[in-house]
Amino acid sequence: MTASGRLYLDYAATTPVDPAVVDAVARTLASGPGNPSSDHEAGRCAAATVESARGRVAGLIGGRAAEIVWTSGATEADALAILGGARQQRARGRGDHVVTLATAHRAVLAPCAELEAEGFRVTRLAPDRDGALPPERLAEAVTERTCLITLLHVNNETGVCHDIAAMGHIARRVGALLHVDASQSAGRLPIDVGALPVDLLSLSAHKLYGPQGVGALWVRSRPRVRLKPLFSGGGQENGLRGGTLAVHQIVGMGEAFRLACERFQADDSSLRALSARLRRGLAGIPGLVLNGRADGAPHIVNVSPLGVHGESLAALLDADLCVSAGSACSSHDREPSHVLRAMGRPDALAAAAVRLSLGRGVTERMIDAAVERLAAAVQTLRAVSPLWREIAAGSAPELVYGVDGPLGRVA
Amino acid sequence: MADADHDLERARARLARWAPHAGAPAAPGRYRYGTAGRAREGTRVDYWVKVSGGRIEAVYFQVFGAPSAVAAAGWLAGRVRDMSPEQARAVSGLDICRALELGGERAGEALVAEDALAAALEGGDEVDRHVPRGG
Repeated sequence: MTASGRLYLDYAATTPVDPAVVDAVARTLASGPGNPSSDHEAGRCAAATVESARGRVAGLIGGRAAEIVWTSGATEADALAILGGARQQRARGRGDHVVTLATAHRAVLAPCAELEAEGFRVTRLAPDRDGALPPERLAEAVTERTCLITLLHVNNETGVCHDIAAMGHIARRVGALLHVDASQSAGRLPIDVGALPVDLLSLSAHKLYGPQGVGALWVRSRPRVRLKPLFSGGGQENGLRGGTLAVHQIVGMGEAFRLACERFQADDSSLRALSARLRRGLAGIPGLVLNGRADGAPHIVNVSPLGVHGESLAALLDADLCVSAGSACSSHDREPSHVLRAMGRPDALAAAAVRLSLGRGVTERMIDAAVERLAAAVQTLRAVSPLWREIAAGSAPELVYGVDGPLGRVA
Repeated sequence: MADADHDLERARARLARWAPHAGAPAAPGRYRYGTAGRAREGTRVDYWVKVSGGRIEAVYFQVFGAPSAVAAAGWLAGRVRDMSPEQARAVSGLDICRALELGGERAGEALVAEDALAAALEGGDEVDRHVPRGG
């Protein structure tokens, strides 16, 4: 619940900070000054604290502490991986072609656009209508000039999971780096970078009950992956990311990841049960188009109710729920989601998308209340909707929405 | 953020004020039906108008649109009740915008309402309550 009493079901946007994390951050802030780069006792204490957190973050993903590079968040980690990785690859004569998915987060797409402006060729693959990327489509797109493939492990809007093991093997065949943004998957899906053919992995603290403003990039050391830094500075993080480390935030991320490791099974069981309850509840609302797959990440469900206008739906839902509705799923502007557009949804249906995302603290009662409020809002708007009148009378939704292809699976 | 909260509150207020008046005719009878806009354009308005003795006796409407579009259609429906069809045709989208303080892109929604009513009044199909339409 929020301070205003609204139900908070927007964990994919950000999560409440775990009380243990709050304590750890507060203790660090109260413990006195210490720059981890300083060569005195206070600095060495701070440095040890940072190294401990580094180990905790690495531990969740099966990596080595030395492979963790601290950043300000997953967006910066993405930029470092994509820009730094591609530029380094090109400088070493390893190609100038980058492949990504049209449904990637803007934190991935924006650096790719920047590379394009620098003369790289960028391929943005179209997903299937359910958001999935068949590995064969990636295999057809890569060439010997492909230097980098960059993907989300779990799509932040739809929850669709990509087969990063299969993608990694494709990358290996052509000598390309594979970068994976694991913001939505770390702590929710098992990740073992020791076993996966992945080279770079972006991580976010605030998606996993840690503080905002800190993240990390895991960089494979064996074989060693080299990156060009984004900016120069004090040489911290082995020259990859200059700037005094925010020790308190790093401690927060370390504690959050330690807790995620400890609670992985319990969180997973709870999430799957809640997700199943949510999907059962949503199945009771007729005419919901599922934007994603039934086997997606358990904490994200995205649906568009037929016949309902997104702006009106968002206005009604805002009274009781904190969810991502309509364009808010992807950005602060009024444009429909680029993810849903890439999946073939017409703008009117994409604009009506509602993403509910779950996490620690969500209860069955909250799920039931959210479903009830969504159903009520949809019913209110359908009662005045000429589109729903026609769909209810038997007109094909595709005809009513004025599109050629299928709208998507009705949940 | 305060502006966004205000916008959403105002949007909800518009829906609360106008949506209860919306709906296709429930009573049997002959109505002049007109529609304008399309789903892919983001706004669609349907009107059913009952004219009796040279006066508009009843107006029903349905809207696929933002809360401002619902308000525009609802305000127009209330405005033209008891008018003659000729008087009703003179009520414009600009009148709607002024009454509801709609500006910018919202003005387009008012024009859709105006066009839908005009379609009903000027040779709109005489229908028994509902008529399905694709697109």
